[in-house]
Amino acid sequence: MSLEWSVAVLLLAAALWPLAWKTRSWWARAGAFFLIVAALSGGFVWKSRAHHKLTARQQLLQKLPAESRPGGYVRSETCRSCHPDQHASWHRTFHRTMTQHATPESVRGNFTNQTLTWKGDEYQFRRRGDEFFVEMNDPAWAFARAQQETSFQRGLGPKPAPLEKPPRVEKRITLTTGSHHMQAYWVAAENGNQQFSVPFTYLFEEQRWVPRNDVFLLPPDSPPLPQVWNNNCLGCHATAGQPEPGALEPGALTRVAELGIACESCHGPGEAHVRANINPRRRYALHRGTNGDPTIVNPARVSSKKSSEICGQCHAARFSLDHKEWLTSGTDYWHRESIDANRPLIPGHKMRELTNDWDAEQVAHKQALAGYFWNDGMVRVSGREYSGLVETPCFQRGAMSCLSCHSMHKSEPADQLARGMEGNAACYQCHGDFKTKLTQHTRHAASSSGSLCYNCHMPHTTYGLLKGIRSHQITSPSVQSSLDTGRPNACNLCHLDQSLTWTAKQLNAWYRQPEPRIAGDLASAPASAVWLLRGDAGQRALLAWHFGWEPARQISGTNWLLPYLAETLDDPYSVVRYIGQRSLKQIPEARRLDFDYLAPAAQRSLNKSTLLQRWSSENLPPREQAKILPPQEIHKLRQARDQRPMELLE
Amino acid sequence: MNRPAAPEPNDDSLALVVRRHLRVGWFSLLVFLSLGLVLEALHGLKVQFYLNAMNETRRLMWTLAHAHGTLLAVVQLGFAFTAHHVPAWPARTRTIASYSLIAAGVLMPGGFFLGGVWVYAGDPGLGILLVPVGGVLLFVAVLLTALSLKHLKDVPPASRRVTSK
Repeated sequence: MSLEWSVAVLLLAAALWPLAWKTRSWWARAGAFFLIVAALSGGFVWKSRAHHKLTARQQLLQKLPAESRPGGYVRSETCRSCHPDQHASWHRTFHRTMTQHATPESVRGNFTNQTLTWKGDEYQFRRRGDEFFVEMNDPAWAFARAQQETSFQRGLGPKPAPLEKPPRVEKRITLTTGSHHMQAYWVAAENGNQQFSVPFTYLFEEQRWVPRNDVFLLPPDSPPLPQVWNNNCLGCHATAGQPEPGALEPGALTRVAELGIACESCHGPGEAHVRANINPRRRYALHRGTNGDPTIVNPARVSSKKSSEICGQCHAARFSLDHKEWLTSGTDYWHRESIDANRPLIPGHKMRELTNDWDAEQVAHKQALAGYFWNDGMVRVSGREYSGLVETPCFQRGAMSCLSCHSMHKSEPADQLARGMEGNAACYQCHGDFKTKLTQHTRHAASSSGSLCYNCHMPHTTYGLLKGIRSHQITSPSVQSSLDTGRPNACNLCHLDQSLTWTAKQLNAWYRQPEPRIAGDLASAPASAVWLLRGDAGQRALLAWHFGWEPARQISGTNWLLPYLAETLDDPYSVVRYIGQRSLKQIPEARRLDFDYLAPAAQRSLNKSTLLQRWSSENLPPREQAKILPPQEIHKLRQARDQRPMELLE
Repeated sequence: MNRPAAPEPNDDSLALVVRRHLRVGWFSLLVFLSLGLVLEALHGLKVQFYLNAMNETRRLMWTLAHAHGTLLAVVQLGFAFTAHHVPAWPARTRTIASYSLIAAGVLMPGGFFLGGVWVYAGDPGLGILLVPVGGVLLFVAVLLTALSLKHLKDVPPASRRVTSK
């Protein structure tokens, strides 16, 4: 009998014995006896249930990266005891839920006996009680096999043995990644705490499972690539992760300060702060004073450059100077020194020079890294906002930081824009003079989307999470840039029906920008349509998204977009098809049609031709009809499509 | 007019009951107010064993132990006061009410306290099961005490004095 049990029984007996003794009524004694028996039986049931729950949790924890590491990290639950409000506001964010234990509270995918197949392999998702499982080919086997094949392809290893039948395993889901738009899942290795990706992702909006390759912008023939969480995702999806040098070997024991992006990701290790503030006198002196506490970092109190670097630990395109050292020491909080010392930003504008010095393994990633940037070095994938910010004059010459517009604790979780920073308020903090001359500057009505600073200076030219995302490199619209880089400019992303020539004339008339020489289709055809049909996969994805963007549709009209968007239905890139069909469904004629962006190619072509057959431009007003290129022109642009393989790894 | 009930051999006298509840009440008050001071100190010194979010259940259980213990101590004193003013209360039911109340005064705060000593992933420990038992006994004690008030008017003022067995 455990100590807990013994104490409870003793207390019960001590309390009831005098009552039973003094009461001569057998009813009362029987009642007392009944209470004791009931309490003991209830205790037994309680204990066994609690034991089962505890055991299940311990089994899960043994398979997960240990949430304990040296370096003075104390975890968010410690912070909460003194900072409940800040803890609560952080608790609402998607930062917290980036990586979670797989529990009924965190798992959003449908695990009700789902059977899925991908590239000939079957996956069965199921739930038992509070636990989630997937039956699949052994991911450790698949990962080892993929490594062997990669080594062979690079001439670094022998040819792998002929493919045998992979072993089937049922794995408990251990971790989840994401909680906003989609959720990915991980299962643990038999030994150690390596986490292997489950090659299906659950999309919330569609409420469906899709192969992992189909939620990233990847070449259509990309092989399934088993991922290991420990040496990759842990860098930014956990707090202060330490992968361990053998993170890719069986038996690896990775550890983190905390799963998810928690307090100490931004404020640094809290142990010294906690120790110092045990003393109530010190705490009250700090409450009454105006100086911050030197034992902890408060991003709101450091310089604008430093506070932005804190976000830029993760929201940047970086590379490790010493990958092996990173595997050992992991992502320690770097505020004490500059992060650039060991994890510099990837200089997008001189990728070619940089890659000359790289070894074979690094060059193998060149395609992916090149995908991070437009030709002029501007970031084009989401999650790298700091890399854009540092190239912005407002940051370089002013006091702008991430916190100028965003807030972790005083914002809504979706975009974490600080309260009151919607609209032009954020820019007016420094550019207040534009308040009185707004329309004079924008040449748009004050209430128009064209008078919102960020629509012109921060257009959606980065791609991620199956949508367009605002660039955080603040620039002005430029036709010359569009010609040089292929990056759509803000004007043509809203005025979908206008050509580059039109934009150049407007910018010249309003802002005296020199008119560049424009040749070919972009001179006369709607620039948006040209990029959508002829651009690379990244451009097509962005334009397909803008064709569904409400401000653009309000300005440019809707119905004439259909024949262009129909061309995305059989695009080779699945994410282009996904975004295209989502935009199509905003057009009344296409709303009721049922598209499946993952349907076989023949079905997709049929969907497209059915849609085009049903639709006729004759019902459109002449002004809208004029925006539609003749079919042969559309075909010509499609034939000229930029087919270079493209990876936009977010 | 009813006379004060003569105690059975096994029943406690009125004086004994009053003395017992005064002692239990004041000493319980001492214990549970002291517990309050301890909890306050745990707050003041930011002791993570008590304040850490992982120990939220412990904090709740011990706060409930403090609150119930203190309140029940005051009820013990109220019981002594009531028993003193209702000498016609039959000794048998008075004895049952007395021991039920004392048991409740041990089981309810004790159950909450034990429930916070051992915590299972957000659930309190086994001790929490003592709380409903204490709750039933408290109900019995309060019911019998409330019913005893029907004897209040039966006792002439002159007889309202504490008698020893």
